[in-house]
Amino acid sequence: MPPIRFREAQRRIIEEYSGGLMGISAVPGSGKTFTLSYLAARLVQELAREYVPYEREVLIVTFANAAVNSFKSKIAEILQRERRLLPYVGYRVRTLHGLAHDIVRERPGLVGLAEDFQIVDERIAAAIVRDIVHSHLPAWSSLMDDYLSNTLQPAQRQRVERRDFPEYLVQICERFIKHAKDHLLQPIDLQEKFEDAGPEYNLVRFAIDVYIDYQRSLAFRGAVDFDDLVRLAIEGLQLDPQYLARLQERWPYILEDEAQDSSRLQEDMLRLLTGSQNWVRVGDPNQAINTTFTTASPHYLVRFLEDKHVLSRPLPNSGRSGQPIINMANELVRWAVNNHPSLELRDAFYEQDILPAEPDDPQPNPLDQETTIHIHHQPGQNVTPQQEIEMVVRNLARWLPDNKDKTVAVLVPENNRGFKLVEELRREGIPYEELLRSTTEARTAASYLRSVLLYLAAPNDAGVLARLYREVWWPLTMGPDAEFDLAVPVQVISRQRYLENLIWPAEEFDLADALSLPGEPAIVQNISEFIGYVRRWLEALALPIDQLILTVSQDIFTRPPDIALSYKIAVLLRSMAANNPGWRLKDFAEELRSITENQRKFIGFDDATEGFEPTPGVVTVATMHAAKGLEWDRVYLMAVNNYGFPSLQPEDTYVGERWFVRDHLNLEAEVLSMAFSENKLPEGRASQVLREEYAEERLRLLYVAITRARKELIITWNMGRYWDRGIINHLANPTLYLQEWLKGAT
Amino acid sequence: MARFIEGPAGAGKTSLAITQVMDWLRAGVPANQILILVPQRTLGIPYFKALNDSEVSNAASVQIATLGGLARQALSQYWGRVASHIVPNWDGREPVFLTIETAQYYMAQFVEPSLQAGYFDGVSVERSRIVAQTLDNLSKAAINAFPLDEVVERLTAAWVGHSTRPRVYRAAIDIAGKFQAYCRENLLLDFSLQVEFYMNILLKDEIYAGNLRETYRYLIADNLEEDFPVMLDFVDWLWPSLDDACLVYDTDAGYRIFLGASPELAYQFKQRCDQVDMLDKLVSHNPATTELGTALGNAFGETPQVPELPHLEESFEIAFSSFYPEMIDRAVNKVVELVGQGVSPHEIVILAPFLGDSLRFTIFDRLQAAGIPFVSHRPSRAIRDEPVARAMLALIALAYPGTPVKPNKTDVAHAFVQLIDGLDPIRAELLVQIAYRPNQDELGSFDAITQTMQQRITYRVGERYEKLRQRLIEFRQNASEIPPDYFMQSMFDFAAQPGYRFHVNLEAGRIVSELIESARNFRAVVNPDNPETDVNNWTDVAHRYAQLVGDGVLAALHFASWQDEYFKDAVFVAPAYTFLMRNRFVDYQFWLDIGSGAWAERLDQPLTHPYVLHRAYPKATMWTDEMEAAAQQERLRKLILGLVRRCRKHVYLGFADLGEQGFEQRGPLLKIFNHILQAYGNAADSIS
Repeated sequence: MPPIRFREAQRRIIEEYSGGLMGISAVPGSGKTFTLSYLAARLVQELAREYVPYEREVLIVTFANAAVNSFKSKIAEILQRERRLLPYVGYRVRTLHGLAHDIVRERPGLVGLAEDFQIVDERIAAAIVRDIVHSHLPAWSSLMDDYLSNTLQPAQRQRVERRDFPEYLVQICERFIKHAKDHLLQPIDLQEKFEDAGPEYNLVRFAIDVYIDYQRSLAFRGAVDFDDLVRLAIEGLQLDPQYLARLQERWPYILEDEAQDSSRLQEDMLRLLTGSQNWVRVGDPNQAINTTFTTASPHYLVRFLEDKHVLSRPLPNSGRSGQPIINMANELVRWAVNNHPSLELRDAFYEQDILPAEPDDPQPNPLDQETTIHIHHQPGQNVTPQQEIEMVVRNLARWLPDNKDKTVAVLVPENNRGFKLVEELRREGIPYEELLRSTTEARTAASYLRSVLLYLAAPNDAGVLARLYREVWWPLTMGPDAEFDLAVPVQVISRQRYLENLIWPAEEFDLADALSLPGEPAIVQNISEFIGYVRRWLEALALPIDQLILTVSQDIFTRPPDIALSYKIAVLLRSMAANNPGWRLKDFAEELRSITENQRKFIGFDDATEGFEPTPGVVTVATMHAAKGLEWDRVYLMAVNNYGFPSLQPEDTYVGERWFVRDHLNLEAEVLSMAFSENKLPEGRASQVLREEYAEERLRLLYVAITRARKELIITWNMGRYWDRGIINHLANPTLYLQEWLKGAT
Repeated sequence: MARFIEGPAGAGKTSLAITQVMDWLRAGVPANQILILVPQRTLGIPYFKALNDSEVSNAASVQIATLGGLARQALSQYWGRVASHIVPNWDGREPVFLTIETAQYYMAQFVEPSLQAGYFDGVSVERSRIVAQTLDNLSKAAINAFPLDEVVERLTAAWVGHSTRPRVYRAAIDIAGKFQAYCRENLLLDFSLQVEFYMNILLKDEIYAGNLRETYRYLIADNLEEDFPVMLDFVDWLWPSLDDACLVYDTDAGYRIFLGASPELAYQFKQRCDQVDMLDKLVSHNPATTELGTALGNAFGETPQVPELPHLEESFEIAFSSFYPEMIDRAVNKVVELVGQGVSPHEIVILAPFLGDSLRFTIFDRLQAAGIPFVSHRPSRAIRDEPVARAMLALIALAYPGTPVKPNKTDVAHAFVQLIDGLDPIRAELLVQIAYRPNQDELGSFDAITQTMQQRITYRVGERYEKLRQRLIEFRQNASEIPPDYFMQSMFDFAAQPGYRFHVNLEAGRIVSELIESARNFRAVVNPDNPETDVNNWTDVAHRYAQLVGDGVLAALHFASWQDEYFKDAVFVAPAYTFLMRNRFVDYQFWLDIGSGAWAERLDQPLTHPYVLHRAYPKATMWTDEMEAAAQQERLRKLILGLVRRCRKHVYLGFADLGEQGFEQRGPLLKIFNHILQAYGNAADSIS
């Protein structure tokens, strides 16, 4: 195998780092994962040379599960192939929550947990909060008078009081609880602080009441939520210095990836664990896209990079995009820093240029002539959301046949837009893969199991049985190459009046006759096998839910990730059953629906198939957030309008501001400010600050999205959902500028 | 004359002790003068087998007991002498011995109000765990002979963390105190009171003590390292009156520390023995597994590094899988391969640090598919998970009026499928949709449904259903007079007739008898034939019982599964510690999930502490992380050396990158093997 060639900036990091604090500011496409993986592998090897009774590890902390898998496999490959070491030992890659889980899991008693404590996921946590909010609300109805807009019509107000405002309060309380935990504040701390507060703090006091009950409700379940994990890990490290010292010894080197998304707690935890010794922080302040409503901020990284005790080793070169795309990204930064119409947004970016790779680089930039940029916008033009989708799909349908060897993505600002696009692609028969909320695999496995449960819950319903055949049995056993038409068996099954005669005939009978399919032996054979499995599943009905799921999954899945996912689903449903003894099959099916419909983040297996690699000729549909770290030859950016990318202009509207709340207040921002800010702000100020933070983050999101493209970048926009009500969005301000700039540049 | 036999597992200690018993018997010692004490019943099996198979007359009547068994037997027999110490004006009431389940049932009544009042807000533990840990504190106090206050003092002094915790300890102990006071008053004897009364009242009672000392002149105490302090106190108490004794001590063991075992205190008996037999040669010697023991010893720094271990590679292999079910499949495939090569299933064990229901089910499913017999220890199998048990619960709800929670249609359909031969789930659903209305008291008659539907369900099934319905109606009329155990017995007899499933389902008999037994215990506890407890209506008792089973409080199926394991030619599937405590030797061991941290970690219980609540632990001493880490390492060392010493041929290690919950697994056991691979082998080649 030829030796790997590093760029000089990479080599200085990989080969020369010998301990201490190091800060790496890495531009998009500069090989950050590659560099960090090689550095990690080198350090693993060095540690392995020394004998200590308990092995020491290099700890890599990153932001998203997907990155965990790609780091893990990359380091494993280097260790095994290039350094002849065991592939998965000597290092640990974790997200912040994963690391916190490890720390708490090792000493649960220290922070008041049993050894088998449960972690409730976001959906369950939300359901608990919802129940509590609804039970407390009658005693706090004055909140409605405090905050509802007085322009509401009586009927509107009634609906808002019944439905919209309580739901908003659920969201506010979820946010409040999360923030309290980020500030390491227990319910009792807040209760004491606001005991004598005036009526203007009622919303805070309401949220504290919900927080108290929420924590008690978790305690009854022997459970914690994700935010508790981090809070408890820090608490544990602070409580027991010996434990901290042991972990410091275990992890002599800590490499932190995506440090621009580091939160205060993450910084605190890593500062504790490193003892400010051997800590390498890598990130790009210009790609901080997870900061709104969190304590995360790129300023932590910037401060670290500028600290005189920190060795700065930037990675400025990128071979990813063609020069025109690089220029455009650099221009966006320059414009925002110097000329953004809102002064508040001028520090959204850290001023640094992306430099192209050297000409002899192993990964050179695409040539200028291969690179194109198109912003689809004419002054005065109106594009509805549906028209935008149709236009992109039409464009893809034209382009794909001649470019099957190229990778392509459509990036959307939020999931719902992606789902709509996917529907259209499906309708047009264009191959696609999704990187939306949970992986397709998790959803397929869960949706298959759900179909089975739905039938088992209604075993006499021929329609549901036919659906089971169509949605599960057919794709598993036949698929598109089948020798007969799916419609025939589906129709035959759904026509059956007496299913017991088909599945458990009281007397011997001929299936072909019973199905009225005498001349179709292949279909009869297929249905006969299907019936055999259905009987088996019906016989397993009396088993506890986990065993039922395991039995079914054993029959329908063959791929290890599917089986592993079903195993995890089985364990998850079992714990649900323990907490909800009255649950029946349809309740479990409902849980599975939430996985299939993306309402639930499914921990552990988010990206079971390791890091995502786009398939040439297949359209990737992803949110701009999920696209971070990835690249495609051709990239479409959709819905780039002033709603998704506001600029603090008078005509801008903001996600999260409710029409029924007076004075455009963002109550989430207001309540957090009242509860957690050191200084009391006048009403409305916190909502404004949040707008500023959000607009900054969206600018950076645009930068991230632009830098995903290697050769072709296409930007489109639409007028927004409410154009027919007169609320018309326009192309986002920065893009308007970039369009003008492009004209000048060409 | 007393003898102390020590050595590692497999050195022949128990065999030597058995020889000692036989020698005594042959020398004319009457069998009833010999007492064999073991820490748990399964450890008495080698004695039981040897004495039963012995040609020496009367050998089988040698008493093999645990201290708990001895105490319970004596308290029943000598109750009159004990009771007056407890209740000043004892009126002749008999004691009720609480099982773990019934003790939990009572304790739960005390825990609930404190929980609601927020006394436990500093910890995040399910209520059933709070109940269990509070009972555990009581047991710990009893087996160490601590007053309850000392439990709080020790826990508080040991605690390094947040200041709220001592308050929680205090709350837990206050509850324990209330529970104990209630039990004393009502003569309900949980384990802690049984031990306390036995040690503090009976052993000080002249008549009982005199009888006991006169009866037992010869003592064998095996696995002394696994015994708790008061058991050692008992040996100490009996010591002066013994004519001969033989104490057996495993130098590597002490696995039951979390249950109160006290190896250090036990070892002090060595000084009092005249003869010490040090057995350090293993009886069955295999160079490969011996070398594995050596390599592991090296890894723990226990023994000096050995430069070469030529047979080591033959002793183990690691199967590396990405996913958990893959790991299980690979292990089972290997078992199938071994059995195909002629290995007896009895010589194979599959071990995991924990054996959850899903894991056990998956292993069983695979083994069953391969036609390989298996047995398991069933620590956490809730009886409510058994379809037959759920059918019984549904029947109780149908037979006893006024059930607080009506069974839903699915439950009733499942119950009918379990009971009526020839009824499939689809027809059961049809039947239930028509015949069962949760808001009506009685099931509808088959005769009343339409002819088409009757034909669909079939007349044969209809006839059987009708008989069952009639039976339930009859019961319902007299339900208040029938205790739930009688009811279940009677339903079992009914369903054991031809035409019903228990006729052919032999497993059902085992499960129903387990239920009947637990219902009987429960009944005895809530209605101990006491005129003050006015239970002349069994309806409420039956519903409470069903609730208890439904809530999963009745956890275990106890039915002699340990006997199956010994006498069946079957693969044994168990948690690693359970296997160790069986003290068995096998040719092949499978260790699943070697990446799991649970191989080293103890059960971490926020309200109690196995090391601190221990007589040998110095009072008023903080339990530090260093101590915790050292204890973990020691646990892991003992566990894996204990396992390897019980393995004659080969250890198969199963590793899954992502564990059961989907999290990456990198526990200390994996790292130990990584060290061994780096020190002695080609790491890359040892993985498959």
